[in-house]
Amino acid sequence: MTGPARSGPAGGPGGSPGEGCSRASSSGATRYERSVRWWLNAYPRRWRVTYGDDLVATALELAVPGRRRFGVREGLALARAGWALRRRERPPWRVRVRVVLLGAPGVEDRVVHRAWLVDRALSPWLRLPGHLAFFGSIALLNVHAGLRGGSFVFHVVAAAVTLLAVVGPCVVPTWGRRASRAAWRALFPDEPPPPTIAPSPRPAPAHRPRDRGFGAR
Amino acid sequence: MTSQAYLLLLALADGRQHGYGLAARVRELSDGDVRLGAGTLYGNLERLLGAGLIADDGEEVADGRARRYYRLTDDGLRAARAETLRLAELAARGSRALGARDLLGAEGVVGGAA
Repeated sequence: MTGPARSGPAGGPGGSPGEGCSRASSSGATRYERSVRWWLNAYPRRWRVTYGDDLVATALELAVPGRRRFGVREGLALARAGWALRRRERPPWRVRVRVVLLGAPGVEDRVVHRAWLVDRALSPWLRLPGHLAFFGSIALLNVHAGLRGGSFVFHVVAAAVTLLAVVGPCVVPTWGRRASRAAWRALFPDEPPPPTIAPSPRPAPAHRPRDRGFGAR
Repeated sequence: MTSQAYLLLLALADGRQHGYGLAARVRELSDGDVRLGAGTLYGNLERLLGAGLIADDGEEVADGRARRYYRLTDDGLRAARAETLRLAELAARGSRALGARDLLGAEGVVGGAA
């Protein structure tokens, strides 16, 4: 959204008071921006997509010249505001349990708690606690069964694979986007997934030799 | 309503504004007393957006940067007027209280001897 604000010298005639940090050096501006974005993670992804770049651009302009990092006090204010927003938008526990266990909210919940549902669909980390509670129990049962008898190696491997399947979407971006698209389709079956969780475009193939047919070599 | 939220509403009374413009206007309105950082500013903006007192007015490129603008809603204008009236009445009551004290003399204590 805000390409020019991301790095490099700040544009704009007249200049703003805080542009010193972006003028100082592109690496300094990038480091400052990175620290702002780190604190910004307190906000839900949905909010960051809409307002994140604007906030970063404003933070760069308000920055004291020469500062290389976002101040801790300001960062804590940002984090508090982000977590307060998450707390305000969190539905009652009955709705949360229904969504976690059944995976499908009621029609009214889709409207009233849309913000929370969208956040949940977009972020694998928000789905992780529910998945851990369910699949983690299965993994523990597997280990328990392995200790009681039978093939210990089989049960431990099964438990490890189950846990990997749960944690994988959080640490592998492509996997996370795929899982998020599936979650989106379950929560909002009538709406196409947003571009933020669209599959990453495949790189164009480099030179591909003409197919000479089977056994040409 | 917090003083920061009130100042943000006043800053938008002149017309739509972007984040940095709002921070500068708030500083001007408060005579330099209130300096909003990005964290505080956007925390307040988000709460005001949630309460429907301000609205997102779209994104535009200004000075080579993409800027998100905010505007005051009718509810926001009513809330700013109500808060201004409340503060004016408070100031009037304060003036009356201080005026009564002045009538008793510079060192007078209401209800007792100095």
